[in-house]
Amino acid sequence: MIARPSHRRLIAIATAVAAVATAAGCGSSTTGSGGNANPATGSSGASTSAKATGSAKVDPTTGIINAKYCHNTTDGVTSSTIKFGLSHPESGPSAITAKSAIGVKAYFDYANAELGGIKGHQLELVTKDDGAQAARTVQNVNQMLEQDHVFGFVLNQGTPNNLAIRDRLDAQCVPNLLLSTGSPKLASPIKHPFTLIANATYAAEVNAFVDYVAKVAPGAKIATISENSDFGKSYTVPMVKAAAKKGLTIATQQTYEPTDPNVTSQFTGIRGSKATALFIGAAALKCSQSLDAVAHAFKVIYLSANCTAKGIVSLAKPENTQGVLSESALMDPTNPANASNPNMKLYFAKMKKYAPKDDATQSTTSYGWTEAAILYDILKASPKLDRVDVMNTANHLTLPDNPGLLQAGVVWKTDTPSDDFPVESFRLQSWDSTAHRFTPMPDLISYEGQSAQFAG
Amino acid sequence: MTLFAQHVLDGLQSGCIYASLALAIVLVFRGTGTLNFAQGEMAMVSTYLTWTLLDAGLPLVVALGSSIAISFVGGALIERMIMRPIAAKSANHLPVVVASIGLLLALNSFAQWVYGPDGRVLPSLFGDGTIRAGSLSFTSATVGALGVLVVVAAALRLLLNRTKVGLAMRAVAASQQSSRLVGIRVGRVLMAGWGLAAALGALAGALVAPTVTAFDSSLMQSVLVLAFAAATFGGFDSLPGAVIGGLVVGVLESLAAGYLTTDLKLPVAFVVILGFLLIRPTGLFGTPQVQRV
Amino acid sequence: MTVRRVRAGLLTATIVALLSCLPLMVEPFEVERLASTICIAIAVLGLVVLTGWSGQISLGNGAFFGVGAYTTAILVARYGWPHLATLAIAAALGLALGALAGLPALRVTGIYLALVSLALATVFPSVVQHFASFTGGTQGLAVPAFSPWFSGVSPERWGYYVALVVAAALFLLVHDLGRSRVGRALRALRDSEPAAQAMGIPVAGYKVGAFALSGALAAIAGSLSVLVQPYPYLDPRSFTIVLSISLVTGLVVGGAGSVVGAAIAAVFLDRVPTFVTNVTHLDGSATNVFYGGLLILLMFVMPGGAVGLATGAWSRIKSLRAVPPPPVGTEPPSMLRQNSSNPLPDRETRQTERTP
Repeated sequence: MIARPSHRRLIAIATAVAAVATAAGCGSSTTGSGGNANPATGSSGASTSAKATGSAKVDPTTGIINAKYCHNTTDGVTSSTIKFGLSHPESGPSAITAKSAIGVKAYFDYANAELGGIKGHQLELVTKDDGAQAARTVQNVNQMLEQDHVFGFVLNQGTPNNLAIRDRLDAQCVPNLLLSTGSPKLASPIKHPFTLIANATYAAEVNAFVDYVAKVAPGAKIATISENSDFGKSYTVPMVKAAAKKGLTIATQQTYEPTDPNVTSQFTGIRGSKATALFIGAAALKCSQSLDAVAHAFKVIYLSANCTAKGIVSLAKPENTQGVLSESALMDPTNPANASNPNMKLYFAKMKKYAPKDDATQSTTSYGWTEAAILYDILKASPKLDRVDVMNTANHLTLPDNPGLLQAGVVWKTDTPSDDFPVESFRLQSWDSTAHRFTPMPDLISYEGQSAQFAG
Repeated sequence: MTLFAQHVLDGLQSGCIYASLALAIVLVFRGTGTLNFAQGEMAMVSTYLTWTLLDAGLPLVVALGSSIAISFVGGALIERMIMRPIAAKSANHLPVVVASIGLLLALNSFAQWVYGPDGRVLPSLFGDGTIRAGSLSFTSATVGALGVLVVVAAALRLLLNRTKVGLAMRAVAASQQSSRLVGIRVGRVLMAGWGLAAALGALAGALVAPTVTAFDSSLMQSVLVLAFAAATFGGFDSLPGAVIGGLVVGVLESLAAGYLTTDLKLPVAFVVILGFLLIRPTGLFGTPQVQRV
Repeated sequence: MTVRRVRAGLLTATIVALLSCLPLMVEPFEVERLASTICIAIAVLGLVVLTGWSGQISLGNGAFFGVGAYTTAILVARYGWPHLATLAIAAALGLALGALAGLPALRVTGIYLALVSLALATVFPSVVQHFASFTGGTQGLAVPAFSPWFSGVSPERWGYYVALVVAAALFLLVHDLGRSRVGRALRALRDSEPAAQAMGIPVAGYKVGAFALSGALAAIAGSLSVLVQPYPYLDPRSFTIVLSISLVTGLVVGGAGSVVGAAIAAVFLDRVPTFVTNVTHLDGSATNVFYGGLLILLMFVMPGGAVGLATGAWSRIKSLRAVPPPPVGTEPPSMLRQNSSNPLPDRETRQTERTP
């Protein structure tokens, strides 16, 4: 009955030794075949070493990546195709943003059928669900690189998610293009040359808000509500800097947890602070909740750009949303004033043809279409479909002709190392609760070349 | 002082949410001794059902009434078709718990699949006014929800303590074997317990959804854990305990968020409840356990 | 007896040898996944001891897993410790925290105890977030990879082999423990606490001990989960209540009281959701309709888990051949068998100090 541990222990040790021995045995015999699976991970030893090679990889004055440090730079390109990956939340509370992939897919289909693909290669897209969890983004990226053999990534979503994969993609020289985030943290071209954000930064948005408040309500006290995370901090930190510059005071900075059922107690704090201007830096339904929780006269209420889908704003009561401000660099597909624009016409015509079941008036979908159009222009401008060439092109490119649905006057421009922020101009817009859409203000706000200083 | 009072009021608003789900959890636990992890998701699906009926043109009260009735039948069917057969085959509660986790995943995913990620607005039964008393303010939806909760808890208590059905339910909760011997149809009583819990979930959803502006499939996800905490605090087999527990959890959370930091409010709420449990191991009104060899 | 021992040893050695050659046949990405499956198996093993044997349910082992992962991550990333050394620290920390979490079990039982562990799981991500300057907070923490000691071995395979060796040792250790007096005492505790006490078993010590061991195993699993990643990255959202619940799910699907069940559980947890996604060809939102449905179906078919099903089938075959039951010493630690003489004990008497 009583087990004799000595025997067991012996077996344990024996098996452990056997395991190592077999491993070493079969390992040495197959290194030849298995070893070349990831020669590019030679530098994978540590993220610290990735950083070191990262700086050697890029010329600090020109921002040009040295191809010598990269291997397998045409992975993901076959004689007839080029494949891109996209990791985003298809499940969970952030799933509303997944609609941007519809726009990307529609543009790819259009480009393949009517523009002859890119340099004779058909564009392919693989999407994977990460439920907004960074660890799952890492898994998805591993799988898409090694199993699906993608060339690069486009519109990967989320700040922590993209930070999580940045070192790895740098080490392997894989382009991570047009990230769906406005975090200035993700724009550091010398250290991380393979990462390029898509949106105007959250810090630029904050500055637009502060400039506007200083103009219409001088001496206003500012309150902010944002998520208690690095996403939220990318609003609150630059806010302190921007407000100080304009001589405005910050009354309170309230934060919520994504799991909070409502934001009532945060607004108790905001009301108690006697603030007169409100900045809502939230996500998804928390934006609608914040709008409804306002119930207090602010001179200016600003809603961060990632809350501006009509499916979010129009959920709040009309009396709480009328006149709420936001920002956009894109044309609104629901605005009749844009109906005659040729780019808008093309968008609707091709959406009808290639994504007939999907709602083309969703701003998330038109955003995906626009970014896919920009990606197409980057690939077209690149001398070869090679990872290093594409990234060098993307980091030094000006697209003056408003690809996709970019507004008139908005210039898509990068010039690493001096400018790693492609979109730095946009228009403020105010919500019209009878028409259920934003009306853009006429003046273009341009922070060209200033984005780098905004971050706190 | 007013700020403190306002924080307490805000806490009561969240507390209503926790309390309503805690009530449903306690109902199932009393009957079957099982933790139903899917309780929140059942309530969420019922809320979508109410919204769908409303969207189809029914008046809110009728839509809610039908949804409650359908949920009752649905809950009873889940007990009969899924939980009871599994319980009958199992040596302990674990398979039933896992089945309820399966149900949680399936229902949540089902709602996302059918309704998509867009938020839906469910109007309040009590209008959307704001009541102000001095510098304090609270919404009529919150007051209504509190009122309904208290009434429901009292009605359930009456049902359990003063009616024949209630007597049968308590008998089954005490011992299924003995109940069967005295001629109680145990199966029906268990079905009624699950049905009541599901119906309560439908009502809870209709009370909660208006206080969050718009709801999606995550309506009850973060609530579930706090509802468990509320039920535990209250004593796990006590209905008034569940309501009080829910309100206490809500207020604790709100005060911690107001006076400490938001990220510490969950730890604070849990530490207080744990401390309480160490003093009273069976919660506020829980029945002390009798140990038998 | 000795013949049986040798046979068991040979069987184990064969399994380990097979598992050793597995990573040579698949792509690096698959190797990493296999390695993380091993980590999950160790975490479920912790629940086998706690829930399967001692009958105390824990909805908080995901937190211990997280503690292990963050211990390794912080020590390596911030203090430059060697990876393997952090494994020991993680184990010690898991042991201590597990014992601490087990202390309320002396006073609080059953469903109330479940809440204690639930609180742990809920609070852990908040704590990680609160100490952001240390843990990386919501932004997450990148950790230098665990580089191989020999050239010619890829980082993925290296991580896999280290995990495999640790897992093999732990599985044998726990298997041994299950057959020792400790294992029998824990099961006696599960079946009736007062009876166990009357038999002279130090109930309090064993209860806390089970929690401690379970915490240590989960923490080792968490620590290893960092070691096996070629680009290690941690964020608190990976260690929520969802992880704890899925560990319990795995435990039951595998077979609650069985060491082998833990291995089956890990394969199930890691492979089945992806498999469902691939089979149904649906986007992320719809996958769980089928996965959740499958869980319910499995509980219909095999409430005793995979191991319960197998032992059930085996004993039926044996009774057909009319062979007398095997000697007691070789009996697998199966929950079904333990309870077969006493069906639905807790449902009838509602002694809630059992698993709720």
